[in-house]
Amino acid sequence: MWTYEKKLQYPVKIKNPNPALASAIISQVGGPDGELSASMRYLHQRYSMPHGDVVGLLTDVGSEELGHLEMVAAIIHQLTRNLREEQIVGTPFAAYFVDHTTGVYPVAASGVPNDMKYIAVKGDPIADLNEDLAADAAITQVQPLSKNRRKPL
Amino acid sequence: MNNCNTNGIFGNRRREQDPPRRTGCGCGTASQTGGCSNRIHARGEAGNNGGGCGCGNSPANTEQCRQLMRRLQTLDFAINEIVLYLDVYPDCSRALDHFHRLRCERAQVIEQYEALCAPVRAIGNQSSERWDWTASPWPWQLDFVGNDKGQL
Repeated sequence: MWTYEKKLQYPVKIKNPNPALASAIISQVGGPDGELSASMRYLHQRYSMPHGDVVGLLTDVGSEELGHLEMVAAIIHQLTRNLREEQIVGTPFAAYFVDHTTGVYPVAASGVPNDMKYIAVKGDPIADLNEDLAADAAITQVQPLSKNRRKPL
Repeated sequence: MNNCNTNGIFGNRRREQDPPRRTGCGCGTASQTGGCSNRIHARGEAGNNGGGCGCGNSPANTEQCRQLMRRLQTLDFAINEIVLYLDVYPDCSRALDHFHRLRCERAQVIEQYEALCAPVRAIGNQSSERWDWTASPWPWQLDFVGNDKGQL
């Protein structure tokens, strides 16, 4: 089982709300390579692992991903507070706002709600660990894109 | 002997400076002192707040609570990493020593924080007069004490 601890893994305090940025970051919550998918991937692959150390690792990493999920959700929450109309209408955040207002809904930036189709659980340790490597590589792929982006979204 | 296959991952410096680990530490009360090499000491008498535990209401408490929460977050960050390391290298005695140093200090810091500031866990609601678990700010809210980096 899990128990909740009332703290973030790392502090989040955002002074200036930026809903357009939130509509990109939301993919890290509910996207194919987001924290929710990562957590479910590790926590459900545990059961068919043949060795205790791998089960332990997947348990601990999967739990930590839930902590990451909470941090990114906190970022979304703080980026979308106290909004004026002109910060929503005509921005990338508008479509999200129509469906979810400023709630934190696990959805990809493309608008597709989170889906277990994003993960694989095959009951085979090699297949599952390879899927973990692929998922991790997908996240590092995005990083050069954001590095080159100098102007605010 | 030392089975670690990484060179100086925890820094030899720490091993020389830290006092030897004592057993039996970490399950004490809020007023317990000593035994850990913790760097933050509550100025007030932790655990002596009765039902008036303030959830960071007074400015003096706020600063102390902020420091305690930052220390707790720092410790848990390190604990997270050492746990993953021990999952893979369970026979590493240096890693296990380091884990126990962190574990010991964490027990004291969380006890001080919950006595002086707010519950971290529901079971950590120390007030016998109030249910602070739901009354204190939540971690994603701007007034949560752990989100204010302040002078640290």
